[in-house]
Amino acid sequence: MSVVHRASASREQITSRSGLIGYISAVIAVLVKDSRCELRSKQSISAVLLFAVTSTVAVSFTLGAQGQSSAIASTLLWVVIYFSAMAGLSRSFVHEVETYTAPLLKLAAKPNSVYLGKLAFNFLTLIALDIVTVPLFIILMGCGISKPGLFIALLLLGSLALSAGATMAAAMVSRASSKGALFAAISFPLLVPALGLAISGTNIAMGGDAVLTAANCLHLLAYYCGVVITASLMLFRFVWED
Amino acid sequence: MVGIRITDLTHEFDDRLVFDSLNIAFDGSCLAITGRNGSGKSTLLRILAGLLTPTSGDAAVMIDGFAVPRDLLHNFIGLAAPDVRLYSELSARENLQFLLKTRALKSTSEHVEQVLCEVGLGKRGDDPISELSSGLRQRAALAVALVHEPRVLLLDEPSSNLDEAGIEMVREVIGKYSAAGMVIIATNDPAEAALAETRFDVGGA
Repeated sequence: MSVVHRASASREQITSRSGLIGYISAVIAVLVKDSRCELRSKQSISAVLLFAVTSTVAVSFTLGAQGQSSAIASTLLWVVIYFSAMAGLSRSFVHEVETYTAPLLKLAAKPNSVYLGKLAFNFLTLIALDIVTVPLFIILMGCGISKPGLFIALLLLGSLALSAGATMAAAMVSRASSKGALFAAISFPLLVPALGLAISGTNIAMGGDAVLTAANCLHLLAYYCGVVITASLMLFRFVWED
Repeated sequence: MVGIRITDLTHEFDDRLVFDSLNIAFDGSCLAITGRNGSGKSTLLRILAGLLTPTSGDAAVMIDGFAVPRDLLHNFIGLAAPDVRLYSELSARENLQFLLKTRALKSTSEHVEQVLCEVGLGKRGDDPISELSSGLRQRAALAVALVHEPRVLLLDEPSSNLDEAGIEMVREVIGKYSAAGMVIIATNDPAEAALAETRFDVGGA
């Protein structure tokens, strides 16, 4: 599409970005728009952080003083992250539908730009969640991290895996009537493999033993992210468009 | 050369038939789609914009003799309709800048300012949409449809909520875009319909 197709007189003021640059520009635009709207409304991040902090404190009151094993601590950490994510990650699409802005986005952006922009936003939301929750969890539960590099890599990959699956699930449920229950029901089977790998890897990072090695956990989580994101890019158009 | 080709278009919502084998071929500059409430005027615009997939048949926007593929429609079509809402947390200017970037278009700040002034939002362009009156929101919605300078402008009840100055602004926009491409207006207002060279009554199809 070139400038000559434009209708009005200000042709020199509006030009096309071509190929990959245009695609990346569109993805970043969706990410920036969602971040800006979220920072002004604080709907999603408030729900996610409130749930995360509340559940972490509640868990630590009951179990923190007893010195839990690394297997239990890693499981509890990812349970807190998973349910906190469920409390807020669906908002990215549900909000578009509830505020009737989805048609505007459909009119202006290619479907894959929307998916990748929303995925990036959800990933950043989970990273913000990790930054608040994980130190709190470690302090209150008295966990030791014997392999910090592995632990951080698992948090990043695990958060990406949760974001990838949850973003697609959110798009699928956004037009349904009972969105909350459906989002959890669709997300759970999709995210169980990623959760299992993240828990096993985190157990190792906390000094415990697991059936899989740390390298296996990281590789499989990376493969999971690749498969889910690729499949989502292929299928998202059919979910997003009428 | 811009045109629309609607061939054997049938659309149903659940069990309610909206169109049955609708056919329109139009190559002029301004078309008014009229019809009683619920006759499917807005639905027809949504189908042309690619927001709705018809039950059967085909609706195509033609540019220089070729049907525009659905995944490129967003660059050629501008739609202002009551059910296409703007991001209320953002200002009109931020909405316009966002929509240009999602279309992979690069624009100058002067261009965005020019579009805001064109619809009479020059002084309120930085206010959040949530703080604008219904008339100013209608102007912002029109700016969103115009910002990428589409070849085909689809307007659904464009004068609703507008004052006299706003209605005059809509007339100027329709005149300008009719001259440069095509404007299709869905309306029940005889004054709006009179701006078009051709009128098509959906209810009477």
